[in-house]
Amino acid sequence: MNREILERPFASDQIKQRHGMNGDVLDYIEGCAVIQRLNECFDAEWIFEIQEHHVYDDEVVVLGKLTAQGVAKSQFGKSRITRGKKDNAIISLGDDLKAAATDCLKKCATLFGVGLHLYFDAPQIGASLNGHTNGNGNSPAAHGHADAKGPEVNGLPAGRLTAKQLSAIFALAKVRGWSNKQVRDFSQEMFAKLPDFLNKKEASAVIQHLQGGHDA
Amino acid sequence: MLDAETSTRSWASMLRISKSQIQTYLICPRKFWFQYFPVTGATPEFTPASLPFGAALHAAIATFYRSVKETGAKPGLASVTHEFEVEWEKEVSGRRVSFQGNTSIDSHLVLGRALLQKFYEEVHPRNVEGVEYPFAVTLPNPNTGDPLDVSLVGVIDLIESDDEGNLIIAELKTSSKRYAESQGENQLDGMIYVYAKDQLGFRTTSAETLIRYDVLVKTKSPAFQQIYFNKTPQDFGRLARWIQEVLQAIERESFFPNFGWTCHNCQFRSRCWSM
Repeated sequence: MNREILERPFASDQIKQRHGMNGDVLDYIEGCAVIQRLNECFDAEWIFEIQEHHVYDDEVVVLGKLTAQGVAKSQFGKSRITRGKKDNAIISLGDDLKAAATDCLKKCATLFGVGLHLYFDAPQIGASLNGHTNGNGNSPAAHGHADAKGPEVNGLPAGRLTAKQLSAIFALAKVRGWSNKQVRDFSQEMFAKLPDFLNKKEASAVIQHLQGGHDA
Repeated sequence: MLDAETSTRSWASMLRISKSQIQTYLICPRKFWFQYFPVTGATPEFTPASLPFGAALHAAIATFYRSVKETGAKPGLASVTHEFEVEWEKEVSGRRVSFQGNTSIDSHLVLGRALLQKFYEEVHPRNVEGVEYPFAVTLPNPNTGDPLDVSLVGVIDLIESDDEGNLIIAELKTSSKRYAESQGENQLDGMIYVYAKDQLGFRTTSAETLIRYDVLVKTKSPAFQQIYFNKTPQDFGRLARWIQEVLQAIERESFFPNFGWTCHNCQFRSRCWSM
């Protein structure tokens, strides 16, 4: 298996960005770029199968398997169900399942090493958060766009975390049973700042840590 | 971003209940009766110092945020402190103010200055969208979802936004001790403000709305505390039922006394205890 081709970083124009549900800025690769990479590496001799799919209230989830050169990797993919703004009716479950299948293919391909560099390029919280590595393989890499050397706004560097990130931090903390004080202490310990004064990158790292299920 | 949806003047024409009225009822229904029913003929016997003190601090901090809104930068601490001193003098003059223990007009001046300094050092505002923002929103019947006849009115201390335009509500509190976690979680005013914000069409995320309490802690060594809570639409259902039950109790004229620790500082204590 040619790992060099599989793990070769994507060009910057192939790396897209979107806002995550928690206010993070997420890097991602489009499905077509992943297919192109698989074709290049395996000369189009690869198989992707959906083994299970489930439709829940708000999202569809698929379990898929990617096989190439006798090696198989399985992962889940998901997509939120798209609903009409006016009547909240489902627009097309088929399209939602297709989106989940693409997500699943990308996740399986990641297990072969495709797009892996995005995770390593993400904030290296593993170095500071009790030895845990960054990313859990299930989500795109998160990048802050903060420039700590940028201009100051009311005594703080520009690039301060967003309200959505702050909300996500306290929502995730609550799920884990953390108090405000525990969140403050954690933020202080990691970045020597209170949560509201983190930059976007630092906030992404805190969110990832809280999502990862590690104890404070 | 925020247009004034209402003004306190326009409240006069509505059947309404305010956050303060609900809070007063929850503290003591009889106090609510004395305070809001002129027919009782009750007049406050005194003014607890905490009320004008809180009002003066609120005024100074509102001035601070208005200045940030206008100029984009913090004003000088001296101007904020000066605002407090002027307001404090106005608030206490001609009133029978009750001071606890060894406290006095002057000791409150010292405390106020120290609290403002702490606030000034620790606060780093985002984009200020609204300061003392009045709102009037409908309340749903928790059983049917239909709007009740009574509007919910109040004033949100501060609305900030991040660089993406998402709003954060902040509520200023003065407290004799640090806020406990459960205190912030179940604060009526926080729930009301978040509900009002939701009704005005703003949420922090698709599912949750963040509120921040800025607490000026009046301890010997003054402190400033910021705590955060998210509220969800489930909280709004709880809030609607809570308020509806208060409204029903008021309609039934259920004005029983709640004898307890709040009596000590109650402006209607003598009248109440002699009944």
